[in-house]
Amino acid sequence: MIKQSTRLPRFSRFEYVGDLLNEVSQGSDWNAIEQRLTMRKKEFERLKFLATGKGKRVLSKSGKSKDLTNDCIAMAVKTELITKNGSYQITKNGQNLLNICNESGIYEIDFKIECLQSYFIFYPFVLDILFALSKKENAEINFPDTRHVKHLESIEIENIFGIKTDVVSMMVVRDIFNQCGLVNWKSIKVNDLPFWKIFLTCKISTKNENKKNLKVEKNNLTYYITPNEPNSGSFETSFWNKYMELSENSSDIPVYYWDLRIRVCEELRISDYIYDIYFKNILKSKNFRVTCAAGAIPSGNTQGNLLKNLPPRKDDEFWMVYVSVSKREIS
Amino acid sequence: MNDNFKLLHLTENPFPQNPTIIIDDVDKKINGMIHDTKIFEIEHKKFEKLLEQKTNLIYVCGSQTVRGDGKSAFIAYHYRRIESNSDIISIFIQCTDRNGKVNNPDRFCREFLLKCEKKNYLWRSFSKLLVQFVKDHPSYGYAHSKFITMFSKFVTPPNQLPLQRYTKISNTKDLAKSFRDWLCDKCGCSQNIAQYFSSLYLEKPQDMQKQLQKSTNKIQEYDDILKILMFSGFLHVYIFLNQMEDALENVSTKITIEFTAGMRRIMEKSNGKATLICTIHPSSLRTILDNPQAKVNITSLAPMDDNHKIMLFPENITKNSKIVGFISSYLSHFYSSKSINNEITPFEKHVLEYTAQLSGGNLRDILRGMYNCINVALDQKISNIDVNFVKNNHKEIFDKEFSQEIFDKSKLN
Repeated sequence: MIKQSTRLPRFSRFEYVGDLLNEVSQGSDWNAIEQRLTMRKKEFERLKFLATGKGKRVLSKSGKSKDLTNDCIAMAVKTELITKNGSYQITKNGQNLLNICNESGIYEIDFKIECLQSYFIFYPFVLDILFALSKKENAEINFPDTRHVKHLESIEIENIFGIKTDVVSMMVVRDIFNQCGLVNWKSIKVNDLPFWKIFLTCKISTKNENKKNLKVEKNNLTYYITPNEPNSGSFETSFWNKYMELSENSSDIPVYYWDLRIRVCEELRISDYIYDIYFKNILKSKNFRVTCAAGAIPSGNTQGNLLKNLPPRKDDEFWMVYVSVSKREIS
Repeated sequence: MNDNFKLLHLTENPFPQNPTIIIDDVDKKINGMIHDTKIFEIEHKKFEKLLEQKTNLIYVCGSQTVRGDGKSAFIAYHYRRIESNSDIISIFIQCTDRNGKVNNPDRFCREFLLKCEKKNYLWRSFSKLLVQFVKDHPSYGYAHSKFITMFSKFVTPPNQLPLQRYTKISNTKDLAKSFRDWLCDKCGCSQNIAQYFSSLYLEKPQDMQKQLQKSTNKIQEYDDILKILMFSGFLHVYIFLNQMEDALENVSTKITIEFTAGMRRIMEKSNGKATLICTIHPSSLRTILDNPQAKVNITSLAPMDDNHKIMLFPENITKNSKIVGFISSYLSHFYSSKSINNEITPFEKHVLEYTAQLSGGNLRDILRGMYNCINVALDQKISNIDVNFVKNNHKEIFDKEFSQEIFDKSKLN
């Protein structure tokens, strides 16, 4: 029996996969792929800068995305999206995924879910982690954030999840689940030590409830993974309560979009993606007057400097960095 | 050019090319003289109440994604309204970003002092107090009526005050010294300030501006001058800090703390005497709130609650045809004839409603759109600006494509 790999390629944004497939479908070589992925990397930083006034500088010298390029290619070869025989060739699976990417859009959830399906098939331990999380108390876990200290050993991760993997793979798993709306996470401190609180934002069931879901096979059983969706009433209640918490019980005080989002998401066990949909609806609410403002975040505040934290744009123009809420007076 | 405007029954383009408030400009399109209070009817009432209550600090916050939501126009209207009351001091200060010269509390105070001088408040105080001082003074009392006569002639600071000619007092130094001591004793101001207030105005009134521009501890000077102004009988001081958010834009943690500490000092000095009104953007509010020390500095004296905060929602302009009143408030100043039947000539009402909806209620965008409408109509020699005209010239007017969805929505309101 071949021991399955529990090491994931070191990238977590599916947009890189879309770019890679695009390049390979055009017959590009390694250098062209690297150039494309570097552009994407820069684009991510540019987006962060446009939205919040903060972003890292990505150097344009060649070789800066070497590891990223090799990891993306390795992932695509392993998941049978491309082949490598002297030159790179896109496979039928790869072409199907590329078609979905082109139809739905590279940033859209449909494309990301399709990418995740490939991970479930070719890196089965990824699905095991999702199931392991679902079995934890409250389907959540405080995972040590060891970025600035000695990383956790794989044995320690095995103690937490029952799966032996490295800590970087765990971060990748967290981020790809997050992009697909299956888990959400936030940074917390427990006894002054940093942790990621990771919680499930979907329901895993053997019953098909005819909702839009993700179908997976495990141990000869079929499971349906359905992202959680609150009803609008519970969303409004949580939204207002969490806003009041953040604004210290004052209405019309601007709070950061991502601060409010993660609090509501944590309470309702929903993903950022679902929150963003409900938020757009609440902008038209008869109960609340919700206003948004663009603007750079103050110096010293680094929270906005995460792709996860980027707020959506209003009317495809301005980034909704600041959110202010008040209850509408009934006339 | 004027002949072309006749086609539209106008004397000139009634809308500003750059919709922004420049309070000292002679152009009424941008100096805050034109204002339609209906857009912020509720907010105006609430604001007036806070002003009447002499609230120590009032935050005027915009609610919109971008600037141009009417904060400056809102406070400019109240500045002008209060200005007409001669017993109250109304000062409008244009703050700048860190590259400008009016970007911290010390410089706000300097601007305040300079404007008090420029607007004659200091001279009025000086003349009133000096008359009061000499009235019961054993050495100068005889000249009381002469002082009254002199100041009735010099209601603004002259190059040199002809004191001897009017009062026969030749030793101005002694008079200045006695007046200084009396001021310090009566109103509690510092001797340094009382010294230049009395001697400069008695000897070289025109040098007062130079003195006030000097880099000294301006917050302390503000405190002293405030005492003098109040002692002279002014009832209250309102200081409008327009674009205060600019001073807090992209500043370091250290500067934020220093800024708020300075504001706190000003508030402490202003207690019961002055009200500060500042416009603020969500990002600058957060700059303060995200810094524990800065937050304490400001909010312990002026919490950001409903008793200190006005939130403006200009998108209300899209409702109940409020846009009509807003646009006609500009047009009415520039009609070439008084016999215009329609208050929004040359516009068709639906054009205004569409513009309001398209801009999401952003007042600056509305005014810019109107300005362009007039210019394009002039170019094409069109006398009636209707929906078809706007559709056909949409890109030129609004710099974006026509939106049928917004057009349909605007018809519903």
